[in-house]
Amino acid sequence: MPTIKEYKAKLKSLANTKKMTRTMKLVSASKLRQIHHKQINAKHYARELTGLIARLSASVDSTSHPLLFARYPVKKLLIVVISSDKGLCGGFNNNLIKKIFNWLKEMKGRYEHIEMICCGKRGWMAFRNHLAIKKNYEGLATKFDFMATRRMADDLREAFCSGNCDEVYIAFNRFNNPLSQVPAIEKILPIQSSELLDQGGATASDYILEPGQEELLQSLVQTFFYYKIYYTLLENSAGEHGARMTAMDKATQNATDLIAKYTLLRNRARQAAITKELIEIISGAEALKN
Amino acid sequence: MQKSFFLNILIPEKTLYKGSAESITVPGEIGYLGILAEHAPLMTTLVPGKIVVRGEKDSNAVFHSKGKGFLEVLKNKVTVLLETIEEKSDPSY
Repeated sequence: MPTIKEYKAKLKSLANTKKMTRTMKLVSASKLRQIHHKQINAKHYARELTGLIARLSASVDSTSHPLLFARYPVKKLLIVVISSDKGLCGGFNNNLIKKIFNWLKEMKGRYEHIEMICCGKRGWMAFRNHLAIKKNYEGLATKFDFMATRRMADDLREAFCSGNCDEVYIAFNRFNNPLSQVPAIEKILPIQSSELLDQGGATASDYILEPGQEELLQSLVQTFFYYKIYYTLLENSAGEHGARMTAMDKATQNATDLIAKYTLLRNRARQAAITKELIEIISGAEALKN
Repeated sequence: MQKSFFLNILIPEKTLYKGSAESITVPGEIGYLGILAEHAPLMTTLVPGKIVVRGEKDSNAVFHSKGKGFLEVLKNKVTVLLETIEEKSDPSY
């Protein structure tokens, strides 16, 4: 049986752990709020952007843009894995990685060549021994800079336009609410033109267009693509903080339970020591009497 | 009093300006262009540069656009979509 001193040390370390997990939970909660705010702003931007595209393309043939152009047959795939850089967030990354492994198994027979780009350390660590990873963008998933996202999106666009890959998929965690994140794999290139034209009732006005309609639409669609990547990163990060919040909440709860358990054990050990001492004193006195 | 129009300036991270304004000057691809109320419908791309907004009651707002952008004028409503701006505000304004 451990001594009282050992119990005390254990309790102290438990109390410290609890303090830490609680702080991490609060930090995640505040970061989640910030990201929520950004998501709302990003949605405002998207509404204006898609509105613009819809109004402009009301009269133009929308299959003319290279990012919208589907290629047959599809031979080469590129998958972008978005994961977090840091751990301690429950099954957040593991669920996604498991899903991607299954997806890869399924796709391997059908397509000639599958390439991977990682965004986030966790995904990179999981796949670096299994697949040729073209590039890993670290730190992108934590710092939300539209221009930094643009650099990655530009690389993807180039890979697609130059014919290095025929379809681009993106794997990320979809954020439902702070308690549930669902891993998802989506096709991002070619862009489905239905996504761009989901705003009904758009009518072409007599716009003065500068430069021409084609060029305008080209740069608008490109910006839309950048925005999509940016929003996916935001969503993934919201999921990460949500998952960490839940995981840390559970850890705090667990630490509280353990503290209660160990306090009982320590009290019992203390009582045992007192009883033992008493017995020694009494038996000593008895021995003297005789 | 000068006529005003509704202006909305956005970047993906946040809304920079929302409200009525009297004029706006933006960097177009072939030079700066100024827009007043009741401008004809226009859609154009923007290049990096200075965007000057004159709001109501002579209040000025200046943004330094660093990336590409889009401008749309439709029915006295002006929407400016930018990629990013320089956060540091110019001390001369």
